[in-house]
Amino acid sequence: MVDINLFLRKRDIHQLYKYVVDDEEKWPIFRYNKKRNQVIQLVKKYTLKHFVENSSDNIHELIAECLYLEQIRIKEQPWRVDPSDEQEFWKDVKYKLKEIKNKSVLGESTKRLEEELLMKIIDRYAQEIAGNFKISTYRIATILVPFILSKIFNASIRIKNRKEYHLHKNKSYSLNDKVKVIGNIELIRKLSTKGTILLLPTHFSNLDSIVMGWTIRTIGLSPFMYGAGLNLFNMYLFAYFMGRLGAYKVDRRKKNQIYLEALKTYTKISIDYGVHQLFFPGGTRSRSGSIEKKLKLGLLSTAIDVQCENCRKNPENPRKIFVVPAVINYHFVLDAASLIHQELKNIGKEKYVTIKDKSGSTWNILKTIVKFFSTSSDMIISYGEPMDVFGNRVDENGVSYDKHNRPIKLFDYFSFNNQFLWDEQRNSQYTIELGERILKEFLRTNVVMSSHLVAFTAFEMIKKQFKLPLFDLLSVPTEEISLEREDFELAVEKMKTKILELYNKSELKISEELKGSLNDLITHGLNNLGLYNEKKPLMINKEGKLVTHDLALLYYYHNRLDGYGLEKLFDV
Amino acid sequence: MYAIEKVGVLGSGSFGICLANLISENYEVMLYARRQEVLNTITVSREYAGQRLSDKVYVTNDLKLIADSCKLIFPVVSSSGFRDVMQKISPYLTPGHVLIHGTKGLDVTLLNDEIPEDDFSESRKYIFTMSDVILQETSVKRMGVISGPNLAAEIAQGLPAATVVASKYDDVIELAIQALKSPRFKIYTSKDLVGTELAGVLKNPIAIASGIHAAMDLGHNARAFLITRGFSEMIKIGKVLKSDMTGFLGLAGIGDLIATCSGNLSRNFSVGYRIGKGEKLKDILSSLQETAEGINTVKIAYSVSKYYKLRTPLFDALYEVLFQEASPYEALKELLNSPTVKDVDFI
Repeated sequence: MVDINLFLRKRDIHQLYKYVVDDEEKWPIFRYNKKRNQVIQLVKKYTLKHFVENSSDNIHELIAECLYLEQIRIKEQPWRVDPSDEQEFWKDVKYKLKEIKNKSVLGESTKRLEEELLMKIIDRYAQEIAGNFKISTYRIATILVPFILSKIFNASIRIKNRKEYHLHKNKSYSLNDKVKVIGNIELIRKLSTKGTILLLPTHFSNLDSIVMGWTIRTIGLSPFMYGAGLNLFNMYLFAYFMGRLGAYKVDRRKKNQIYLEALKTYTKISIDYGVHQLFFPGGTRSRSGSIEKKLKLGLLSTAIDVQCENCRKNPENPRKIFVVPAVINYHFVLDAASLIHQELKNIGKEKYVTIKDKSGSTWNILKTIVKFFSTSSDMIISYGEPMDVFGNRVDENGVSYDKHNRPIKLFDYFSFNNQFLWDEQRNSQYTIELGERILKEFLRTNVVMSSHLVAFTAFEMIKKQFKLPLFDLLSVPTEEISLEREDFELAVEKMKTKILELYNKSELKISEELKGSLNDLITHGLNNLGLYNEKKPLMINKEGKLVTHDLALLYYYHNRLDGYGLEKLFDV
Repeated sequence: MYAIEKVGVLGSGSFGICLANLISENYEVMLYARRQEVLNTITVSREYAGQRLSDKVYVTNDLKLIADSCKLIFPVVSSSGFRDVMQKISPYLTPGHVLIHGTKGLDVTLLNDEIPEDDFSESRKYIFTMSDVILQETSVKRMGVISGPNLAAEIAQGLPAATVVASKYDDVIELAIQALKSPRFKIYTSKDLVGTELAGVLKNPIAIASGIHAAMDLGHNARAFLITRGFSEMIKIGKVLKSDMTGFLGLAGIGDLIATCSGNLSRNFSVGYRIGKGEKLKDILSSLQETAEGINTVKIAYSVSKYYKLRTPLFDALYEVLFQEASPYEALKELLNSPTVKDVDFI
């Protein structure tokens, strides 16, 4: 009999590196998922324990508050993915809560009943959150997705190069020709067997989680667990794959304490178990187009807590968590126009834009994928240097080193005079500092692409020309905006020189085009910038001048180089 | 209660000895003396900088010994020697150490004269507080600052005083309280580490200005004028150096200003006084036994103010008097002639 799995694995031409751990049954996510029921029990146990220890007198209020928030959510933000028995469940909670209240008025002890009810709610949340990784789905997806994408990619190359058809006829391009992965991959691979990896990429596009999932495999790591917004599960196709590919569900509508604690406990257990995690610390896609300036610290704080706990358990040789920041670099983001619109609305009118986002439909995501892979535009995934949760460098054995290359014992961070101390305030400050460190690493890991550079230069020149505050500038009719090619070239050259200087100081990374001639750089940049956006952010008109059809969009792409102080170049 | 065994104090100037004596009321102290002659003097006479050393203070120049024996260390060396001492002790420090410094100065090792104009990053790339230096040189994360109106001579006499301990870490503050607990020394706490550091630093130039004023005998009104406007300029400079305002409003800012600007116990005040009496800065510097942090601070604050195009007429005037040999009278005239602006424009 033919083993279909073996067959599928043999056909695998998209993997650059062999799997670090070949035996799928030894993959942390596989083993973890096998224990799914046990994990849910643990989530229940620890979440309940947390509330009993910290707010045993307030469990009634805790449930009441949760009930209140859930009722509002059900009424105001119903989603297709919500289970059909929701109304019923919460009605029952309401009824039981009333019963408990009546009993307590009569002076009976209600502690046990309260805890039982709380457990019921936690159980519901835990069942919802927990992912359900299926190795068979994973195998099919990892063959099918790259296969389809590379078909689109190959077809588009042949269509685009009709005249040179013979050159491309017998060539088969794989996704590796399109998506470049750079960074200290060997070290990341080695560390994946020494501890839990926390992969933290920037977030610009709907494609990001698919792309990251793909690169994780390309570099030979077993699948990572990741928290996917429950809204994505509204779409059947995604819902089917995601849960089976290692995603657990995160419902951003649920802000009640019980849910948040259950979610935190679930991730804590999985990190502790050694399941590698993929997490977008920016929370949502960057609206402004700039690299994250602020992070959601939730998962990072869980990582610090787990590291602390591991140090308590094993002061000499605790199981470690390794943090790997990553920057995803595109020449264009299909939804850029709508993203920047939201951003401007946000900062301009201080009006909060709800999470309702047109671009999130299955159709739109598929459209992005097809468009992306049918262009010649490429993508660079840049992995940052792995570090421990304190930002220290680590070697391939997972040993941490300080600035002077002396080994560091992580236990020391959590103790005074060799006495272990659990201190939440200290841990939360460590989390803040880890967040700051990651933001710095993002800037260092970022790859400056030709399109980023031309967009930044053009926008800064326009800004200088009009000398208007941002919002006034953005309302200038685009017909009135133009830049002389010569001036633009000079400015790009100045920018390039400065960027190379920063590159030499390891303050950022650069793509190949920045190493070539100025002319090629500009042509490449203009050709790729916002390639598939409806309106071109920057182009050359018949008179040879640079013009824009959408200044806000140009601003979006310009923001990509925010954070390096490059605007000072245009001050003079 | 934390399991403190011994406490280290780095720096055997007047404040270092004062602090060591204070801590010795609760714990054994290891005091670091960098210079051999100072070490010898203290070891033999048990007296230095006009203060008698408690029996529970052990003096040494062995940094490894201190780091190995003390998990809680108070570095109080002058800002010019701070980085050097941190570099020397760094090999023996671990993330398990807690450092609380008491140095009211800035580190400008990377800054030549002025902030380069074409440089992109802001001045904090060149100008560091002592907590920045600790972060850069060591693997210690848990750190804090002790600052406030703490004139060593008065504390040594047993007079009551209050101080502020600022740190982002609650356990650092708790440790400081545990080590410094004394019926004559009241401790207040703050989370604004950088603000507290900068308040302590930026008040020094105002103390020099007060000294000049005292020498010129210009009256109480003028002194209040100098202190208040100086305070306003301090906050402006502090803000561009990325600090909160809260540190300035407490003991480390207003409190320290009142103490150092009112009497001649402060070194900075004395330097100002001598300038006001017509002495040259270089002559004064050569006669000083300990650093007057304010002189360097005037230079740095002036560069920062120019870089960020701030309006700081008092700091400008001080700079001209100290480094460009302008006469204090001329500087005062200029100050009085500066354009009329809003009184409080920093809130």
